[in-house]
Amino acid sequence: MNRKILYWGGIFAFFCLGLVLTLSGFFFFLGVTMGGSRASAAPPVLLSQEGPVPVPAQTPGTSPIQKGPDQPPDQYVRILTIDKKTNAPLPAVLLFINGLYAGMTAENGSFDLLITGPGPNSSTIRAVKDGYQDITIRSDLIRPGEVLLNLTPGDIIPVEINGPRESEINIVFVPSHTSFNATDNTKTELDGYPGGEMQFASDVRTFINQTFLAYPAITSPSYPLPRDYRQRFDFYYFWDGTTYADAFDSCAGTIPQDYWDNVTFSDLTIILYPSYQGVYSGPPGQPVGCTNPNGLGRVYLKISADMPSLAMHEIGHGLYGLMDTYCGDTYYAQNDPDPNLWSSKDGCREYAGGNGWDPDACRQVSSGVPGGCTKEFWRWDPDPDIMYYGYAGTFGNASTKRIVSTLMRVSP
Amino acid sequence: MEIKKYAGFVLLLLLVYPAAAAVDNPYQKIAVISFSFADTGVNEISSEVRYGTAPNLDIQTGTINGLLLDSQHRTIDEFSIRDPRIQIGEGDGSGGGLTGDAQYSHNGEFGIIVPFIPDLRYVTLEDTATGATLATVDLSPAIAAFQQLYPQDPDMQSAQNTAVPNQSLMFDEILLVAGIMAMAVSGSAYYIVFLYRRTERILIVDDEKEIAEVFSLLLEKKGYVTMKANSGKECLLLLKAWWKRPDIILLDIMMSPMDGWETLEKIKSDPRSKMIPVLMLTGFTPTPDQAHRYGLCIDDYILKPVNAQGLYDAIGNVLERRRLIREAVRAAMRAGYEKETVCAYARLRRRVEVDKKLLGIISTASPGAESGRDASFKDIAAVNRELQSDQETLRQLQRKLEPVLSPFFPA
Repeated sequence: MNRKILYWGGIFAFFCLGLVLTLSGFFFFLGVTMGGSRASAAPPVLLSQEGPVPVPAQTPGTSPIQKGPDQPPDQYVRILTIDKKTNAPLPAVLLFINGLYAGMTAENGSFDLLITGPGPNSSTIRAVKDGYQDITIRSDLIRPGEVLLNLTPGDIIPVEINGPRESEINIVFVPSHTSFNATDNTKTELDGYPGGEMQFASDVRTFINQTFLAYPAITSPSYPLPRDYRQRFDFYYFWDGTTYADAFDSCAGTIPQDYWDNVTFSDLTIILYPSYQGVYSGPPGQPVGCTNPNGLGRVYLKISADMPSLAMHEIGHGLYGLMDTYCGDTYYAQNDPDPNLWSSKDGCREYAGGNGWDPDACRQVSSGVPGGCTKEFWRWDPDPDIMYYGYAGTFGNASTKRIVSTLMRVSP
Repeated sequence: MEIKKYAGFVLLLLLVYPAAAAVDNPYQKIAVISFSFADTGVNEISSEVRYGTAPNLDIQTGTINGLLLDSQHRTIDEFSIRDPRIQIGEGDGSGGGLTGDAQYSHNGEFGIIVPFIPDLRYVTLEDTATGATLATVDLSPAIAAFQQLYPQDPDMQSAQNTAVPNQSLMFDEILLVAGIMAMAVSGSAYYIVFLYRRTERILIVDDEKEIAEVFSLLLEKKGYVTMKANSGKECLLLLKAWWKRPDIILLDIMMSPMDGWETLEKIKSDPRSKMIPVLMLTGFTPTPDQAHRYGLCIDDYILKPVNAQGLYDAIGNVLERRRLIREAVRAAMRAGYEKETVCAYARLRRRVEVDKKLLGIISTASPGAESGRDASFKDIAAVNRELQSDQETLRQLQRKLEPVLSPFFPA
């Protein structure tokens, strides 16, 4: 045999061996992190947060991942997810094992889970689906075989979902059972939201169309919105038929603790109340709209469902951090970065010049009446500025720049 | 060339890392912290770690900075919020514009929800205007409570030991490294065994390069791997390297300055090379004295000119004898005989075979001078006596080992 053949044969054998070992490792890696499909003969068990309950056997369906029949049967659990109210199988339920994403259920609501790790007594399975309450179960309730996850329809109803929660701006609407009459400064107690859930859902849809989806018409063309800006929002509403916010027990109202316990992902919560009667003229009356910063994940505002322009103004506060530019009893601060209000005229002029705007458009916040209200703050956006008028107007360069920069920080 | 060199590794990374990333979803656990604020400052009311989805950290910008810190107080992530003490209320004023009602609360509560990132230990709030720290929350009790509920959660395991960021990923990485190491070790071992052990390596020692080349070609044609040394010194140098050590040495006698006999002495005096069979190769008949002195050391004696078949036969005989001896030793030991007895038999058998051949060669040669003839006769007689004695000993050993040796060495 030629020596060169032996040499290259050795190299080739080395390569093949390496390839086999690496592929083995890779497939083993996949094996320990993902579930596999395997029908099981063990009796089905119903899992709920209360504990396991036997249920009638069901026909197992197709699973997203196929495994060979040589796998030990006691390593697998077939999870079936169903709607608790309708018993319909639930596809696309996200499953997390011990906090790690494992996969999602197939069209027939099934997913075959490979139990790995130190044993079944110390793992957790979490099932998540929009419109349903999350369910987290310790696996000491799980036995090899078939289990049923009963997902209760949630109080958080998706209206328009454009992507996963973690990469979207999540807006959640909450109904209020109170309204306000400014003519005699009385709070109106209602029997829930007038018209019930259907009316509320309709009001929410209309509100979204008139506000969040209407930005192209009222923002400055100098700072174009991202083409997919509408896809950067997910919208939900909260409805359980018994729990309502009270829009008029303080400036921004209050939201029941149940809501905060369930909704942890909200970037802005909007209390929507049916309508506002009369004209607000300051305390002791209650304002039409009010924003409460309230932290992170807890920001909320209240607004009347039939006042889209003022809603845009309030959303300017609540979501984008825009400042009022009218002169009155409100809060002023230079809101860096991308401000729409400056604490000095020079600062305003410098910023405007730096962005190619006319520095001479910088003007002091005032009521415009000689001897009237003035504040030591300056604004640039031309009138009608929606952060000035509230009930009408558009967002100028400064406000639009801030809106766009906020939207750009979200990458769906 | 460099691109080709690393292409395999890059491909492996491309295969492995998307899979690793796909199973890691950092937004499925959250830390929920409630604060109270008053003119005296901000205080933690409660903190909890739970399953859930956090809001987007990047949307708000405000005057309060939040820092997510690990156990060493290193920043993992940060966020910004607006001052929770200020609520802005407004409505339509009678003049057509807005009437504002900003309310500054002197005391109240607010909440922070952040994604639970592995290694997260502290959440700190700072006032960017003054640089003052408003509050620092130690999440350890909340993590411990969560850990008690869900002990196998990988983030909780990493919370116990910050040096282990993700247990399952760590396990995967160990697997991968172990696989690559196994690949390297087993591949190298296979390579060594295949090249150095599966095919017999023959060292040809001859100061005439052309002759060495001819022998080399003949042997390679037969499937042997050959090495060449053009002097005794070069041969000894080669034998020092264990990975180049041959299975057989073909040693020419007529070399200078170190001839074949001297080289043979040095080979056999070195414990690292003394077990290698040596076939002496020469165009001259050895003297009876040389046969007497070196017969014990050599495995065969080949007279030039030799045809290819003669060479193959000689090498084949040596290799076959070694194989038979190895098998006989194993069989004898299994049958309960001492290894030394069997080895002594094997050595004696080889010596008898070589001596017979040498005696045949030197007996047919005729020394010139009378005195030399007397000396030669004495040496031939000595070799003959030794041969007779060895044959007798061999017969005795063979009788003793007959049951086990007969399949390998028929009488």
